[in-house]
Amino acid sequence: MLQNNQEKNKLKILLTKNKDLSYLYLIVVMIIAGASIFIPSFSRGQNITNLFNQMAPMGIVALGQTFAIITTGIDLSVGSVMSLATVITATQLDPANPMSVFIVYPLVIGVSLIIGSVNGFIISKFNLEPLIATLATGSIINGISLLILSHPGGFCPRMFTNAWLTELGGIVPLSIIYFFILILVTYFILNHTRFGRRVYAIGGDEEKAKIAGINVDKVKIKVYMASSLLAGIAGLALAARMRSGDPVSGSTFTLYSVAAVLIGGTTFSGGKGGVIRTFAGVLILSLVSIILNLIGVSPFYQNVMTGLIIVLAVINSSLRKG
Amino acid sequence: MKDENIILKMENIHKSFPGVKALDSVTFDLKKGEVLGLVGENGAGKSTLMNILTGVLKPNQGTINLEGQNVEFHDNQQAQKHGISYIHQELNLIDELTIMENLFLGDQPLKKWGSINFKEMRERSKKVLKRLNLELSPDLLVEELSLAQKQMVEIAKAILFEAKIIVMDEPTSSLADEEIEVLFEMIEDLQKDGKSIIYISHRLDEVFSLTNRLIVLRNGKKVAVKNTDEVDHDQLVNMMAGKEVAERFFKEETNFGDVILESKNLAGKKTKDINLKLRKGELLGIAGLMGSGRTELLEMMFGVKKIKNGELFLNNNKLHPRNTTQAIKNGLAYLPEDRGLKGLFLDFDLLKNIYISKVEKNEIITNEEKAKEPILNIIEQLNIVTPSAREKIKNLSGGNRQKAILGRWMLSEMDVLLINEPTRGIDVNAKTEIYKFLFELNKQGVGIIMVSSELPEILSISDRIIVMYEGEINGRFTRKEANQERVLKAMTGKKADLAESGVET
Amino acid sequence: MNLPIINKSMSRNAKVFISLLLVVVVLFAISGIFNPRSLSPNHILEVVRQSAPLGITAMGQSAVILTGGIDLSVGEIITMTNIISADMMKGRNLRTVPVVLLLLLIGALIGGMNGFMIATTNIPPMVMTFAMSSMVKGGYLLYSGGAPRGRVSPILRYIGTERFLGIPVTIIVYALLIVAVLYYFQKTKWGRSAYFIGNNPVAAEYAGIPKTYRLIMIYAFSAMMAVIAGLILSGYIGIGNFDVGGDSYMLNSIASSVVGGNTFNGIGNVGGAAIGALIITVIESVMTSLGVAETGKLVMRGIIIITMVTLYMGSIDLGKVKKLFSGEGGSLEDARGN
Repeated sequence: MLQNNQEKNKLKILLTKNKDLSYLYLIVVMIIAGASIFIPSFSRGQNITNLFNQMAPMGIVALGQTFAIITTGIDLSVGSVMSLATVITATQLDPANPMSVFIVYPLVIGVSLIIGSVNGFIISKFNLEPLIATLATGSIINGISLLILSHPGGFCPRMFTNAWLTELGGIVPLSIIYFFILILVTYFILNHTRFGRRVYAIGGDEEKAKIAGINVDKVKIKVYMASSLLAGIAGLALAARMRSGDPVSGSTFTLYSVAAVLIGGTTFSGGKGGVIRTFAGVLILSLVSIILNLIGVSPFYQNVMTGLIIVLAVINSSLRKG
Repeated sequence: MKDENIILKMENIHKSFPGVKALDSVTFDLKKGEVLGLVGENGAGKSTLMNILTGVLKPNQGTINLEGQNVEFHDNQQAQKHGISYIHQELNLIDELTIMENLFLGDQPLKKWGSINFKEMRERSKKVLKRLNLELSPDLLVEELSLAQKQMVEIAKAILFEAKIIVMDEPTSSLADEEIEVLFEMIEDLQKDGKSIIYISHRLDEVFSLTNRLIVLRNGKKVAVKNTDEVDHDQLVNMMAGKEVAERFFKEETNFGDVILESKNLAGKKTKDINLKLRKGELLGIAGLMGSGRTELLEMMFGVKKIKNGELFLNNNKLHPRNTTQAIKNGLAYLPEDRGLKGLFLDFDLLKNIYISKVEKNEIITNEEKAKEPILNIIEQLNIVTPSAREKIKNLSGGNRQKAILGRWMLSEMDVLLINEPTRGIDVNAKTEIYKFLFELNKQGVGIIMVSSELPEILSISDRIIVMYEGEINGRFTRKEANQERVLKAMTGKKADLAESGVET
Repeated sequence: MNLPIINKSMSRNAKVFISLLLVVVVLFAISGIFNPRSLSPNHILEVVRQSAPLGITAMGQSAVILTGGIDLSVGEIITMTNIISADMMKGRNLRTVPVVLLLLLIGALIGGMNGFMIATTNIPPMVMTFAMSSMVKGGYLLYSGGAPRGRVSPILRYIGTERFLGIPVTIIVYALLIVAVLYYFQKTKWGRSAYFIGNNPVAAEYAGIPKTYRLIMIYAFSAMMAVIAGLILSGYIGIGNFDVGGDSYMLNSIASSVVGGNTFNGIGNVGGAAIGALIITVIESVMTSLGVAETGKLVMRGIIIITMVTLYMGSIDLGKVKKLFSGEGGSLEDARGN
């Protein structure tokens, strides 16, 4: 009996704490429902697949950004990391050599981790503002991408893209499955490991966390490594979708990843939020984009609308602080 | 000196900061299961001493001997591992995390495969919360707790990690009577368990009822260590202040002018029915516990907080400052309680910090060179200790910083000065200077409203005193009528017997 | 930096200024080694002229950065200015003044809206200005229907390309602008308040600074500077083109501000951005003449930012400040040290 009461209490607290998150998901559901009813092409298999394929890279990179923002930081290099990943992938894959696939994955992951650790190091040891530091490293990485591939090019053969684009049941591409798995993994890390709890502690109050004995520098380095790693994986998904490499393809993802995190309700003031929220933000951004496309809104208007929606959504999310 | 009963010995502790000798050869010991009171005025060195004990600061000289062994703490973690716990006045809890996360911060119990064992965390948290009679769920966010509850959580943390020595810094400053009783019971329990407590408090009656021995610090030096029952109230205050108890600041009888500021039924978020009058040249003190609405009252007058109801009059003209700029243009000035956060621009120099409000009030094109002379005058008048007017203000001590903010308002000329905790964290000398200056301002016709948590201060320098309790005025006293007992009674909710003296407050 | 020219008692801003000048001199020296002709007064003037639009944008960006914010909309505002000025002027001189005024007004409105939202809601400046940039982009795309048209007026062409008494007109305009901006931000209460708002937004309010109005003014200023930069660029190019301005300009404006010594804490000097822009422009031109591709330039930009900012950190003592992208918060640690 007592057990049940405790469980109920926990759930009650969780729900009231995150009332706005429930509303957010409610909005998502309403958007999906509305779109399915009013836009016949919305529920067409091909479009759903497109939605998923679009959502995967954006969602994965946003998961990484969540780590940084929880610690009151930000990672503006993620877009460049994604571009770099596409460039490495597209140039290192050799259709004639199946083994090349096994080189690309560790290469991209390794490079991402190194970039992340450099970011984390600069931010924690040199004491640079994350905004400036990652802006600078993003620039450098962008330059490196252009060095490897000065124009969109390269080729991602099926032996690589199959792992991402193959559709289960003809509709659900593997890339989105990976996204969901990564949501679970990052959720676990942030909520069930000591490291994750330290991330929140630092975001809540860095000084007090330090006094409590937490090695703030080490945690920050790991945070930015996580962010870069996820950006690298997102880049792989992007490469699969584009089937080629593009040294500037990732640039829009940077700010959109930030937007997704903020729309989900994680704020820059730190110590709160998480990947479930980011997932909501990703859903909203992707749905809006796809719907605007489907109803034939001119791409010019889309810009305006997206901007407006981001503003409204972020204000709405930040209102929860009351 | 191998007394088995002694758990801690601090010997010849010296600590200096730039320009200030905070501790001068302080020595004392602490027995097992005893409550040692640590008393002294603000700035006497109590916090510094405790920061050294808990590893936050390192002493320039001196030794710490814990259970017979000399120890040197490199950081707070180490001190905690040795069983020393410090419950700060500004609590060390992270608001964004839950109670149980704060209790286990950095040291969460793990399951076999490395993930956090929430079940164990929750159970152990529940146990310790229950022990303190706290009906709180471990999953509550700390930011939702009242100050009193947060304090209890800090104590729970100390108990959880089996502290042997617990330092409590002003633990009752925001507790209601019932909560204080619970705290006292808990302290007794802890004593029975053999734990030692260092109890820092300004509330001398608490010190007398709780402690076995007490140590008095003054200006960084140890003045005395006595058994509590060997000392009485007056003697203790004497030791703390070094002066006679009965001394109040000599204040010339001034003739008060007309009413300059008046509020009628003023109400804000936490306050209501505030009716008061301030005359020119008068110093009106506002007493009350934390949370009684005093800050909100001042901030409503200054345009920081919204006025929900009621009216404000300045020189008989209706005043409704919608922002601070309006308040200042009308001649109001505010010395906030949190200097670093609300008052100072720490990366800028003294001159800029003083000049800013004058600029906003009266000028459009600034001229720092021209302003230098009047500002240097003010620096001299206030006796601000600084190498130059261009010194970065973060290099100045607390007292000088406070004077700087006062100087800011003097430069821009005010009619009414609102002060919140004028001498918090300021050394004794600067305190006296600030009081003298406030009297000067009174003489010049400036009306002052002063909020303070230091009862002696309010009793000493106010011409009249208003007491607030839970957002309303619960007591009005003239200087003659006021005494510690009456004011305290009103502060804690009981209506004191007021002697009406014909002067409307 | 411990060179004899810089002594300990100098203010931080003075140290930064001298460091920047040294860097510029060194850069010119290096480019002189590779190509002696690049040291001719003509060439130097050319480089300064080239840096003008970036410098102007960066001064606006600096003002915003000093208050603890950021303006991501400047790139698109430049593009918008280019598209609209070409289209509206249609190569006619008489149209110059009204179109310029109109664009300045539009800029003021865009910036004012940025500032208003940022000051009155919790929305982080990054998000607001990013969203605004999106809307501005949509705006000019709709306006032009995807196809830029027209030509700027001959007067604007003159300003953008010609010389007066041997000095590029652009530089004359730039110089006047710098003087006006420096005066505004050093001497007037409105400009000065930017530094205070950035250093401690809470204390700024308590000191009597009307934060909301000032932030509106500062973001409007940034947008208007972007418009001016856009006009000069349009004068140089002559026609409308979607490649004008954009992301790289926006990022470079941030880099220039930061290299110019400005921090998110109210420390720095709006004028420093002009030198920062010059440095970045010189580096780019040096690399171009060395045949370095886009890639190298980007790498350099990143390295420069990190290096300069790290060096600045050494000469100032920044306390830990809680993230200030939501326009609130002061130094809590210092607060406890009363």
